[in-house]
Amino acid sequence: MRFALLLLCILILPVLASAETVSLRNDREGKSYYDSKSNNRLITKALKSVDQSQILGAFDDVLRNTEKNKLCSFDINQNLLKELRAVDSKFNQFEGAIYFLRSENQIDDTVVKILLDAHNVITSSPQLPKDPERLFLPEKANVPEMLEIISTFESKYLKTSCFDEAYKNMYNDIQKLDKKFKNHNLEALLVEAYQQKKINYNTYLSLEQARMNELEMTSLSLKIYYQKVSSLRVQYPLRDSNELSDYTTQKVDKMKVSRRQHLLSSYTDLQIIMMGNVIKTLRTRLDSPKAEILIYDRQEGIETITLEPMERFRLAIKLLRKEMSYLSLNTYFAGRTPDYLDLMTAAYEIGIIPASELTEVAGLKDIWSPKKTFWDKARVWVQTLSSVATIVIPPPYGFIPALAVVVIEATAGKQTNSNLDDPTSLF
Amino acid sequence: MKTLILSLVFILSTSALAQSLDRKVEALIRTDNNRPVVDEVILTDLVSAESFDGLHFKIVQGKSDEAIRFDQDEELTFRAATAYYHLTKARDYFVYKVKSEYAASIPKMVIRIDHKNQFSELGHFAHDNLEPQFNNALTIPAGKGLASKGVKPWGMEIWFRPMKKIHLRDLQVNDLANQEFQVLMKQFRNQIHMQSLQRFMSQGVMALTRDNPGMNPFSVESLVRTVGSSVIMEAGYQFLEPISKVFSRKWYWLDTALVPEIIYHEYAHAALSDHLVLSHSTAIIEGMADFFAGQIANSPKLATHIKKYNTYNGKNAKKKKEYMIQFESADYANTDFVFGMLWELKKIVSEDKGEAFMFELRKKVTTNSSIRVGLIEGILETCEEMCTVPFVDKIRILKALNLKGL
Repeated sequence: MRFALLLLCILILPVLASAETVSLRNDREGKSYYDSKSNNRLITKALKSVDQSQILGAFDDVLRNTEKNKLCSFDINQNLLKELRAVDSKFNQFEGAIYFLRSENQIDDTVVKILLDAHNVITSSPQLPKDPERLFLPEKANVPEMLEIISTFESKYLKTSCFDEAYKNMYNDIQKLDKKFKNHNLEALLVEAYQQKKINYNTYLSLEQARMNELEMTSLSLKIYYQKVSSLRVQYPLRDSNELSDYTTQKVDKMKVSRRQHLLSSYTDLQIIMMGNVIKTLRTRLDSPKAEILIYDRQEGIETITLEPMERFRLAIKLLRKEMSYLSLNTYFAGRTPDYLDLMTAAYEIGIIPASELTEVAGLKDIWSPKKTFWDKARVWVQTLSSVATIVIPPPYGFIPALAVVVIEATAGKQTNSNLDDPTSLF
Repeated sequence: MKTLILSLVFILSTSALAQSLDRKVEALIRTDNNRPVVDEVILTDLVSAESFDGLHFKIVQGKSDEAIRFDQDEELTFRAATAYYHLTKARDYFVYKVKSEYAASIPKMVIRIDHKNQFSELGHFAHDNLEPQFNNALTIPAGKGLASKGVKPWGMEIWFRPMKKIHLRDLQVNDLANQEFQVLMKQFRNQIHMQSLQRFMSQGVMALTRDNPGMNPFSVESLVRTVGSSVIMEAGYQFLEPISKVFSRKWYWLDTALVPEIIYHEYAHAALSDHLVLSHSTAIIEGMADFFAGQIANSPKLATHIKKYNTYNGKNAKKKKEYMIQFESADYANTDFVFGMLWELKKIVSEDKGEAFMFELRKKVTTNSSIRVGLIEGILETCEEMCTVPFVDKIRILKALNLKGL
């Protein structure tokens, strides 16, 4: 009897767990990375076809019917579009609907990106027919086996996985046969598979769309995102789930993603926790009212040196930099050195640093890596030109560049951190 | 208890006000754009119709105990009026704006104008034979007197020394600006010499490596040009001091009773003396008094643009100055480093809360605190109690102090 009950529990529990409604609600981000005039116009256009409650209701329905272990951006997009087209059969403002969901905090920027990337794959149109002269098959010996893999895409890969995951698995299996295999080789292979009727036109089209959008390069699927965030929330429950920050939605330099998007797509949950903990220690050190250095001889302590407040501050920063370097040596990071701003975003993600403190703690980076102003950059050029001019310009006018060099050295010297070589300060 | 004291102070002051007199006089004041002008002002809270004797201040001359009469020497009454007017303004600031119970409770202060004697902790006034003091002001602590020598007890007093023209060579001043200029000149001289050498070398190389070098480095013209600039530079450098003496200002004077910010500064010493005891001059006690003088004057500049009464450069909180360990010594107590530092921190902790913050700070420091330890610890502790987001503001403060070279 007991055994039967236990068995029943074991069988029912996963069912109940999977029945739990999936939530993709934004619980960390303030002003959206996608908050722009053009995107807001798309929202307005979408709301002309369907009203707010209809979009929210449709999304709610889609999520209610989605199991969390089967989360798939392509399926969600398809179902959402289906629901919205049930309201307005001509509805074609899918992007607007997604941005609207973000504006209502139903999803965060990372989910927006995942859904829109999936939407872009589906809506991209390959140039057909392909020019045979521009198709490059991989090594002939591997072609039959590769075509066989492609032919099983629907039956083997797509049957158990989301489209993005299925495509990536298939791509990896093909790549295992030829390490030099490239995206353009697949283009030719897909044509070959279709011509040999190994796949039908629809499968060819969707695989070609995935290839065009380099789906094999994407690191974050909706399922992985959900697992990552859920794992972080279980290990580090948020003290204030209504706390939102604009800091994490700011653009990363030289990248087309926000800081949080970059964090979630580049680091695992374990790495995020490790990074957050570095900032936790930094915060404790910065807030500490006292720090001492103890010096021992072979038996006992012989000297206690109490650090001055500014020495404490600079020690905390030096230790942070040391720990950041050590992080890259950690096995889990495999030589990758996380940026200080990634650490800050990680600390906020797990609730170690509140939103109100983010900008200021992040600004500490200026201490070891000050931002270069226009004049700082100009000074380098003026100094270089003046040095050349001291030789080129004949006397008596040579004093002009000489004076410029001296003045620049005097002012630039003052701006560098004089604490570094101050003999009256330990740090 | 606090309410009781406040009520008592209020009742006493209102009952006294009923008897107080106002008088229109001419005094030196600042315009809105910080220019000094002589204008009519109203002296309030006077208790005498004939002299500068008020509820809170009595202005006397030298060692006298009698208040200066309105009909005395015009120059003297002008000083007395200016001092009385600005002292009242400073007291009102501390009592009504900062809400200092201590300032409200300070008994009537004797303000001495044209007072040359040095201060003696035992005898109140040092002996007349000791070197007379000029161009200066100080706030002295109350004393118990010395009954056996006929010295009566005295309260807290402010002494304004008479003005005297002194030749600068007779003054021992810490001329930081001049020191910096000399370093710059030395660098310039080295650069010019290096430039001459570089030119000579490069022309020499060209003469040896090219068939047609353009100019012979050993020609008279070339040598005169190259050596000439170095010689001129060296001559200029060696005679820099006598040349600058010829062109620079030679005389120094300071009429402290006629400089509003100095009057505020001295009263601030009195108002802060519940925690910053008036024992000696340190960077902390002077910096704190400067800060409140700036607050009362509503200007980051103290004692500037008033050449008629002051040839001293004044103080400027906005002047960018990096920390030097020398600032901890008594010789540098009057530089504007701490003033500038507190002025900058006021903005960090918010303009509204700034002065309450600095007033609270006096409890966390002592006259003997150092800038690097006592003052910064005090600032951080005060921030812990008063800042809106203490952790964030503390980081802002630490970053700002780090930039100041602390």
